[in-house]
Amino acid sequence: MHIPDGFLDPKLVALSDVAAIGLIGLAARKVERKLSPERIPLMGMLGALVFAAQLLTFPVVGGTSAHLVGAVLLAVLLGPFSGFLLMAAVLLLEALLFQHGGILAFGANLLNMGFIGAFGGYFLYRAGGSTPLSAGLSALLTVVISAVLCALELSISGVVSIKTALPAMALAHLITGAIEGIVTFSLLSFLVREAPEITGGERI
Amino acid sequence: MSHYWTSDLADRPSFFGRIDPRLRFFLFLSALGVISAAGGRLLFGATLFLIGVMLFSVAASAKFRRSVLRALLALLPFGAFVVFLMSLSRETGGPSPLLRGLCSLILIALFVTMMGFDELREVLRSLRVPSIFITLLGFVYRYFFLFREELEKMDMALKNRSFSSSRLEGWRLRALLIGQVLLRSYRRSEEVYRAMTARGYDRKER
Amino acid sequence: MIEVRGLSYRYPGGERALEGVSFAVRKGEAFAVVGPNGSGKTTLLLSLMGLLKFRGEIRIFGHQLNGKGLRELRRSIGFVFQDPDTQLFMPTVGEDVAFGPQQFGYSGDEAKRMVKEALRAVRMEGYEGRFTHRLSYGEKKKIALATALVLSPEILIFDEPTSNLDPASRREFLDLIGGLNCTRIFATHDMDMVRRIADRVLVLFEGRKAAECDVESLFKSPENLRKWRLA
Ligand SMILES: Nc1ncnc2c1ncn2[C@@H]1O[C@H](COP(=O)(O)OP(=O)(O)O)[C@@H](O)[C@H]1O
Ligand SMILES: [Mg+2]
Repeated sequence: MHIPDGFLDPKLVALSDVAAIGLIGLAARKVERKLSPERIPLMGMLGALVFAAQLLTFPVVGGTSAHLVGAVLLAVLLGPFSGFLLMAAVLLLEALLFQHGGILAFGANLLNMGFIGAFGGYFLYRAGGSTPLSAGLSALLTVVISAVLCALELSISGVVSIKTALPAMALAHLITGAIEGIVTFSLLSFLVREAPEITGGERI
Repeated sequence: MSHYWTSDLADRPSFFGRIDPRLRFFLFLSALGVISAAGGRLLFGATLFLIGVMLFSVAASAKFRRSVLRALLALLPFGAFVVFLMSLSRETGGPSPLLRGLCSLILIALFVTMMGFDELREVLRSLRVPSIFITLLGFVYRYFFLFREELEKMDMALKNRSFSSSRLEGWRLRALLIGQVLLRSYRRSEEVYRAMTARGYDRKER
Repeated sequence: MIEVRGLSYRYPGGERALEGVSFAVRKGEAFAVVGPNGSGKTTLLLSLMGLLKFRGEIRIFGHQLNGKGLRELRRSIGFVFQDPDTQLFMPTVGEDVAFGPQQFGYSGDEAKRMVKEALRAVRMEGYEGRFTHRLSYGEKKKIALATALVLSPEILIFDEPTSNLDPASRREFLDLIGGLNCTRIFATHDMDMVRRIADRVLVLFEGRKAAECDVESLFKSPENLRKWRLA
C-alpha cells in the first residue's frame, strides 16, 4: 500500500525519511564496493522490469485487482542491498511518474515495502532453505507485514484507529500477498529450470 | 500512451525553466512540508488556494491537465480505503488528512510538469546522492518504457489465447509471462554491458 | 590497418560461431562482412572490439588486441550495435552521447561541445534534451551513430545498420555512412547497401570465411551468391 503525502504525522515522516536516506547511503556504498561492473546494467534492467510488471493488474474478486511489489524477487536474484537500492529507485520513480505514494512519505513507503521486502524477505528466504518455495512464502509474509506496518503508521498518525485498521489491512493483504507469493514462486521455479545462470549469480 | 512524465525541454514552461532547478526542488519540498503538516485554517486556506491554482493551470495547459487528472486518480484508492476505515470507527483524524493528501498531490502534479527528469537527476547529484543510485534511476527510467511495451504485447497475446483458465492458473501464467520478459531483459543487460564497455566504461581503470 | 588471423570463437555452451577466419581491412575503405543469419557476423564484430575472449590474433594499427591498452584502442573505434535500444542506455540523448567522452575524462564543457558536434554530424542538432524512449527507430539509429562518432574514431563498426529501417530512413542512414571518410566495417545481408557503399567484402558462411574480394567480383557470380544464401 503506497501512502500518499499528508496522511502521516510529520515527526514520523521525518524519522522515516532520515532512516531511508541512511539506508540508501549504506546500500549504495555496499553495492558500489562489492558488485562486479557487469551486474550494474543487470540491476537496471531487472529494476525496470519489476517497475513495468507492477503495472500489470491481477484480478482478485469483483472489480478489485492487485499488483506486484517484486522486492523479494529482486532480493533473491541480486541480493538484499541491491534489491533494496532498486526498490528505492522504483518507488521514487513511481511516486513521480504515477503519484503512487508521496514524496515526503517516500521514506515510510521505502521502509514498509523496500526494507521489509528486500532485507526481511531475503532473510526469510534464506531461513526457509533458499528455494523458490521459501521465496514465495517470504513474499506472502512480507506483503502482510508491510500492510501491518502501514496500518500502524496510519494509526500512530491518528488517521485511523488501530482496532479497525490493523485487521482490515492484514486481511486485504492476505490476498495480494498470496498473488505475490504465487508469482514469486512460479517465476523463480521457471528461472531455476530455464536459466540457472540468472538465479545463481552474485548477490550483494 | 501519454500517461508518463513529459519533460522535453521544448514544452517546459519557460518561466520555470529560468529558475535554478535546485531552488525549484527546494521550494517544492518546503511547500510540501508546510502543507503536509498543516491543519485548521491554514489547511483550509491552502486547499482553496491550491484548487484555484489547479483550475487556473488546468485551463492554461493541456500537459498539466493530464498530470492533475493522474494525481487525483492516484489518491482515489488510498483515499477510499482510508474513508472506509474511518467510517468503521469514531476516534479518527477527521477530513484533514484527506485535504492534506489532495493538496500534496496538486503540488506534486505541479512539480512534475515543471521539472525535467534530467534536471532532477542533476539536483540529486548536487545533493551528493550516491552516484550508483542516480545511475540506477536512469536505467530504470530508460528501460521501463521498453519493458512495459513488451509486457503489454505478451499480455495481449495471453489474453487472446486463454479463455478458460482458473484465476490461480491465470496468476501463474502471468508469472511465466514476466519470466519470459525477464529472460530477455537478462540478455539485454549483457548487450548493454558490451555497449558500455565499447564506449570506454571500465570501473577498474577509473 | 586491421589484420585478423585464425580467429575462432565458441559461445559458452554453444556451437562454434567462428572457425579460423583470416582477413585484412585497409585504411579508409568500406569493408562489408556479409553472410546469412547465424553465419557469425556479429560475433566477428564483437571480437574486433575486444568484447569476446576469442582464439587467434587480431592486430589493429599494429597493436595486438588483448588485455593491455585495449581501452585506448577502443577509444579510436566506434561501434554501432544492431539494436539502438541496447546502444542508447541513458534517459536523454545528451547524456547518452556524452557517455563516451565522460568515460575518457573530458570535462563537462568539452563533452558538451563534442556532443553538439556529433549530433550535427548525424543531422540531429538540438536533440540533447530529448528522451531516448520517445524517439522513432530511425532517430534512435542516428543517435546511436552519434554516440560512436563523438570520440572521432578512426574505425567505425556497424552491425546490420539498415535492418528494420523504413526506406526513407534507410536512405538517410546510408548517406550518412557513405559520407564518412574513416575506415568502416559493416555486417549486413542488405546486398544493395553492399553494392552502393562497400569497397571490399568478406563472405562468412557457417562461421568460416567463404571469400574475401572486391564488390564487383562478388556480384559477378550469381551461383555463388545463391550458394551463400545472399540472393
Ligand atoms: N550469446 C550466444 N550464446 C550462444 N550462442 C550464440 C550467442 N550469440 C550467437 N550465438 C550463435 O553463434 C552463431 C553466430 O551468431 P551471430 O554472430 O550472431 O551471427 P550473425 O550475426 O551472422 O547472424 C549462431 O549459430 C548463433 O546461434
Ligand atoms: Mg547478427
